[in-house]
Amino acid sequence: MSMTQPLPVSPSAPPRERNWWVYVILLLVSFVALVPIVWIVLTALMDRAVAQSVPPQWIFTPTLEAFETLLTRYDMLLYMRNSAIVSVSATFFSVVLGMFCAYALARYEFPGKNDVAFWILSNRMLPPVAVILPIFMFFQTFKLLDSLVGLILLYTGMQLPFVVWMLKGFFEDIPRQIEESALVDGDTWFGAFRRVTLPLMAPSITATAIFVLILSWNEYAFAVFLTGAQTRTLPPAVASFIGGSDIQWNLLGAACVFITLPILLFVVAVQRQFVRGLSMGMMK
Amino acid sequence: MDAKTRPQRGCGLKAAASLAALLAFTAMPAAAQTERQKALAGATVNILAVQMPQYAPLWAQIPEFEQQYGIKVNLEEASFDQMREKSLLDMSQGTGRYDIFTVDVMWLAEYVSAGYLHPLTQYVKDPELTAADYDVDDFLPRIYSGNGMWDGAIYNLPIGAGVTGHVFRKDMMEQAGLAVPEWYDKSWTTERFMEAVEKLNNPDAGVAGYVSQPQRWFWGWTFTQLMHAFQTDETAGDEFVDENWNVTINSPQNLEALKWYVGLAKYGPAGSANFGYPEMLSLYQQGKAAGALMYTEFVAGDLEDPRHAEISGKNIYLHTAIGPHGKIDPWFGSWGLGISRDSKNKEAAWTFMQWITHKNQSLKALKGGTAPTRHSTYKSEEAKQYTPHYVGIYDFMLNTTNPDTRIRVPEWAEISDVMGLYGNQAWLGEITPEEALTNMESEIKAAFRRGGYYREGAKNPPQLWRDLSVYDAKPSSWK
Amino acid sequence: MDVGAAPARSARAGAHDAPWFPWALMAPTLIVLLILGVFPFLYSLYLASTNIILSKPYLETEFVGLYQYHELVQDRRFLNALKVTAIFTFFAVFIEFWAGLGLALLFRRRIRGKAFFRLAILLPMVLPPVVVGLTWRYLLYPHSGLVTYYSTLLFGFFGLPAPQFLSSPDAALQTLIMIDVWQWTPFMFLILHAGLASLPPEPYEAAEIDGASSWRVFWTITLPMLKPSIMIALVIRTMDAFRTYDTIAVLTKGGPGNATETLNILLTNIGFGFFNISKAAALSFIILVIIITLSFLFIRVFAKKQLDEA
Repeated sequence: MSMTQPLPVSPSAPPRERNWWVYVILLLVSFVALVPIVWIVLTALMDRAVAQSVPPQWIFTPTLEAFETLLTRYDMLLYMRNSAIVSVSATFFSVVLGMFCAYALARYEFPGKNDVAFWILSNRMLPPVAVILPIFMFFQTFKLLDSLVGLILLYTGMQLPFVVWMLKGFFEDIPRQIEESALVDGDTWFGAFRRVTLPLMAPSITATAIFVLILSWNEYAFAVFLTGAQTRTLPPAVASFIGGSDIQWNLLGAACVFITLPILLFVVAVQRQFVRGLSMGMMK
Repeated sequence: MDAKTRPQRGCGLKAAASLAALLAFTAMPAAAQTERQKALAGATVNILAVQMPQYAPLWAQIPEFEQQYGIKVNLEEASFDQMREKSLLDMSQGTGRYDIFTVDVMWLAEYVSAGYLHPLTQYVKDPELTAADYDVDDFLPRIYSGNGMWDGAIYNLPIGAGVTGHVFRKDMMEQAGLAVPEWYDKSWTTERFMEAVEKLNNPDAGVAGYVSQPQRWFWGWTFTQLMHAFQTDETAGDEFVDENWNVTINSPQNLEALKWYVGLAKYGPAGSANFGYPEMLSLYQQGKAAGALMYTEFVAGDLEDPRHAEISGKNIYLHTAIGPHGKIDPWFGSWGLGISRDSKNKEAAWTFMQWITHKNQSLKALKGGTAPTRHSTYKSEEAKQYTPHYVGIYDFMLNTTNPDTRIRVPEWAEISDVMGLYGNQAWLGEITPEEALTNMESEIKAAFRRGGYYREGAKNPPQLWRDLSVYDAKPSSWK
Repeated sequence: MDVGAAPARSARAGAHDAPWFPWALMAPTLIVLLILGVFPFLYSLYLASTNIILSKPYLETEFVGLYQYHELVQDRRFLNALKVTAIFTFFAVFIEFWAGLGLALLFRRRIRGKAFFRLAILLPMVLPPVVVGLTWRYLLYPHSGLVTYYSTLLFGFFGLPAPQFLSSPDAALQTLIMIDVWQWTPFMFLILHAGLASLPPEPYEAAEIDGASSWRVFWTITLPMLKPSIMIALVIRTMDAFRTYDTIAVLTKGGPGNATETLNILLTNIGFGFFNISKAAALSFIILVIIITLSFLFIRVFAKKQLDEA
């Protein structure tokens, strides 16, 4: 395991001076990736007329009008709080629970192991629409409708298969001798796991957690049906802007910025750990 | 957004609330609360409401109600796309999460026959729960019963109603040397319409003659009105089904209507096959089309609002064109408030409903663009001043409108979807209009069959559109 | 994939050696998944065998056996949705895979500004799918949308008619595929980039000594060694592309006609448009079977090849 080394460079890579075309491609790709995002951010700063002017105006007097409308007209801060509570909790629970499951699948041989692993994955296969009705009934029976707890439980379950499958690969990469030597030294299993395995896994777990956080923050289909006025999360709130007849793009832009900014800042802050953590366990 | 169109929360509300309080103090005799209403203080009423700009002026008055009655009102808005699925899922599971639903008239039959709404007349007639000056007979009969009646009882209290028409740019019509018709011009026929649109079409200048909304999801609106306009005296009433519920949508008249509609494509903007209402509106607002389809309830917010300075005031509103056999589309559209069967606060919910649909509140909402539903609001000075485009439809709503333009059956949502899918494919040229109607017929028939219509001894709904007198009953006479 | 084939049990014996121990570790996960998964599964199985229309509780419920499945497989709308989904999934995942792999390979070169490029490439993946749908709806809006405007200008310059993005049946599906590619190539890039980074350098050194061409190195060393990452990336992407919902729902909802009506959109229409939940349940089982088969094939094919090569 060489996670602190710089990324290995293919020996067949040509010398740097012949790399200009790489920059051309990367700049082009970055342009395509960024323009829609930049434009929606700019739109959020436009007034209504500028936002639908033809030709598109790149230079304009920015205004916070759209954000002001958004914050005064809707409970955006409440929705954001709900989103934060739900996605952080679901991430925490799914990673903690899934971690042990992944460990068991990576480390132990037992009958039916592959079937269990596949069954876990199969929980991720049905489209949400297919299970909304039974989940709704389940929630109603256990008084979980309109509650953040219900949403946390649901998202935890939704993300578990992903967590298990990602972490399984990473665990398989850690040589078992390291743990075994700790056990020989008289440590308990959990002691060895906590002191030896977990630190080695920290980057991968972080990377997986980031993924799960993004997925939970963005979840839309269930949130539409299972949340009420007080428990609404951001995605269904934002989607309600387009149902109306006369779409106000600057409001929509502001809403998009509102929902995306927290997660975006987070990803920018942790992207190094993210990429490094993912790079660890891909080889078996 | 000006203060009066802001719904319940935020600082704009305080302004609205204090203004409202002022008005309440000066203009209207503060409705005295009965003992029963006073006892309801402290209750909470949850509303699932469709998010449409024309109803924002109603919701803006909620703080005033809360202050006056001590009943808390939670408004949850859902987009039109989500409204029906969210309502039905909730209703069918009997959660009681919402006390009041906003209900589109086209879904009324579905909701009520499933037993999801609670009848309202007992409250209307209860002097302990309804203001003495509520004056239910002030509602236009066809709006009151058309919006709310199923199986002989009232389930839905109207908050707005309207008809379908066209909007045209008066200046462009004059420029093209066309005589500008008036609302209900007898000479405004489908033939003349087509000629006008052809003349107005100017692709070189980037202006289309007419922009419609042929997207799949709107055919229950766009095509139904044409089906009505193209009938003959003999076939009127058989737009969808005959008296024995045999599906008759595949008729020569409907074929003519479909061909006519598809023929509009060549005077529309390029690539409009997937246009819905927002796309159509946006193009018209930007002056890229001389005409568009319109619904009267949308006019105030989408075209005549001060935000639309570039077009407001330049528009003329026309009723939909008269068909080749002299028939006019008797469109009826409305939204109302219904009480959930599973509500635990029905009396509090009603207290809010009778307050918000009271003429005082309707009059205030009118200034913000909400459509009138009462004689007094249609005839008010405010209507002439703030929403002149509504005034002209008063007689129509009184005498001509057919509340069953979209036939009143629980299957409507499916019928509308089937029409849209094959209609849109015909518009695209993927199938012929003949094939489209054949497919519509077979799938609508399947929907009725699933609904149990063709079984032995089936109790099918009455076809009230064949005799509208039922809808003319005085509102207070409903049981 | 078979790491602990012959575990040397030299460590101190304890609970962790007991046969039930892995089950204890898995128990919380399995319990949560059972709670959330089993009831919906069984209930859907029941629904699919009846004729329940949720908005019509007044119709008597009948047991109809396999009728719903039978109806579906003959339904031209189902067959169309199957075709649309297959096209969408295949092309989206195919393009994403090669684009992501290409980018990941570019990142192995000595270039400056890697952090910036990496962030730029990753961003679309972070956006909520709803936002992606709304953003592209705005960009592709008729007449005034940014992309509409400039592409009309560009095409007009060459004397071509303005491109149709969402209004012609073929173009609409292609547009949706390209938006999926825009959004999810970053995912492929991320996984494959990570996979490439953890490849051992020895085979490359050997190849260099042999003087193998970079093309040959790619096909004989990089790709085979990258297989585990490729499998994860393909399985997860295929599953997700297959059930794409948010973006399509916001952009076309299946139209024009039914040109972009995927299985998932059809399922939504049947289930929440008509509330024909029995038919919807049957359809969701058909979808489940398709996805399980696909995932199983992927996993089998990759696992088998690995064994062969070992």
